[in-house]
Amino acid sequence: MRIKNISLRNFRKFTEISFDLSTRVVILGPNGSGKTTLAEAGALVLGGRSFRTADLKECIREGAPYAFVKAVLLLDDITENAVTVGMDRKGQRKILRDERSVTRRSLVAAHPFVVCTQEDIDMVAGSPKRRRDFLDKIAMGHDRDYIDILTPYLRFVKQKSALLKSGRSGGLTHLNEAAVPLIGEIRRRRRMAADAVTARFAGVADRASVDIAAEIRLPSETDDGEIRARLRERAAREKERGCLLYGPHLDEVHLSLKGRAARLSSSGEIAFGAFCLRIAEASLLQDGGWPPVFIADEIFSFMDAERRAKAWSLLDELPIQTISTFHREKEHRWGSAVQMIKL
Amino acid sequence: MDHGIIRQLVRSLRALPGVNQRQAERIAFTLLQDRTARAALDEIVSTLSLTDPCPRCGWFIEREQPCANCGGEHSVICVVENFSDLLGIERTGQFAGSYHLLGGLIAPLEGTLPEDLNAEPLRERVEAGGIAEVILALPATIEGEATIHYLHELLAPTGVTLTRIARGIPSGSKVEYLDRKTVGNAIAERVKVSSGLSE
Repeated sequence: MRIKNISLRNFRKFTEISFDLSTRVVILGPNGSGKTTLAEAGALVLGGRSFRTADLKECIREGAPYAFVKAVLLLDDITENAVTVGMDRKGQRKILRDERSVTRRSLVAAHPFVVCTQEDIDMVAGSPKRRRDFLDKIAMGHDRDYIDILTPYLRFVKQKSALLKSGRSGGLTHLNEAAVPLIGEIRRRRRMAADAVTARFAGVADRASVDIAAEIRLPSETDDGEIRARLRERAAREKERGCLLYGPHLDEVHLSLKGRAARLSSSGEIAFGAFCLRIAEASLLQDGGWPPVFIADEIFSFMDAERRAKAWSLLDELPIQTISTFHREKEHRWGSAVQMIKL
Repeated sequence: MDHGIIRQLVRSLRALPGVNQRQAERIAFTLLQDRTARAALDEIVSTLSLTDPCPRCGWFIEREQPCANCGGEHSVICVVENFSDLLGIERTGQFAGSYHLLGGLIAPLEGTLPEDLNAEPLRERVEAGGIAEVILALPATIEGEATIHYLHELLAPTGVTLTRIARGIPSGSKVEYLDRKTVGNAIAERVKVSSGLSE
């Protein structure tokens, strides 16, 4: 799948701009020229959400009442989808596919993509939440039904949290019991996702001739009996503190690079590790159906010249559409197949 | 111009489920101007004055009369969350027993805990004897599952047979298009095929 063309109206700094896109797009420009905005617009038409803000009002150009991004997506050689994502000052978002209103969920299901940004450094070296989200996205790419396990689990978290905050205790055992099978299943799916990612990661590192083996460790309790026992153990402290202390939404996800905790690695190694994780994600998504679009926003800033060259060669050999933003023009030997957009 | 009466009417109408501000205003104006609508409301009020909620099953009883739902001889009780679910089962024509309305599910976000449910009277109904089976017709949500677990714990000492409605493939659906969870539930809760041939 790829984005054939894209138009932006009143989107951030652009009043009106449009481009036809090839399979290898490089966006070049100085700070503030709108490189990230174009990458953001690409992700918006594929997934209905911005990777820079949760509040789409921020994307509307100052003084304009609304904004939209329009694109023609080429699913295969002959099938096209016209997608429009619009937003207004009330914070309302409208997604149209072939002039019909669709949900964000159905958009994501039909148009796989991977976004790689400098924020991914947090995914490697920051708190476990980013790593849990990453594994959940991989698990979702493998099996869309995973959402039917995650959604009721998150509902459980809200219900249990309300109960613990209320200071009342009736119903705690029953809510816990209802969540037991969900907890086991989420952990099993994340384990599968972690195994798949680390195997692909090894292949990516091998291709780049980089010694950077990754390992992901997760809680091992997946058995109903064990989970039940842990929930029972924590119940008294949870009541005392008025908050949840156990469950997949709090699980530690340890990532190690070259056998030691990733957060202890150098910033160049962390940035390269994050990039390789995203390449592994793209490779897994490709197995699941249509080839994803890979959007990379200024990811080379923390890498030295050698790692930058290796990362570019990995990006360049991806058999899918890539849209990358760069600050400097003379950074790489781009090759003749690259479409340059200079801002 | 004083709108005190209209404000009072709108406030009262807003207390009804499913009535928003705009709808409440429309109903209020209709009741003030339309004699037929006002006569219909009078009839509703006089009918309601003859009834009370049944303290046992959550249905309603007419004054001096036994409850039309739990007053008779029934060996099977179907437990539902609310009146709408009861109507859903009634429309199938497949159930001839008595109902028990819980009045909610365990949902702390909505302020509903086990002690807020109409569950103790259910245990009393079962303990009173003559009940062979209790069917739990509750939703397959986290709140429904928590409530099922609670009722299971509550009714286990009575020894009554406790069942839950099956979760499976909707009529007219093809297996290949359904999600894994639905198909998995349908397999787990499969039923024996009867020949369908007349003896």
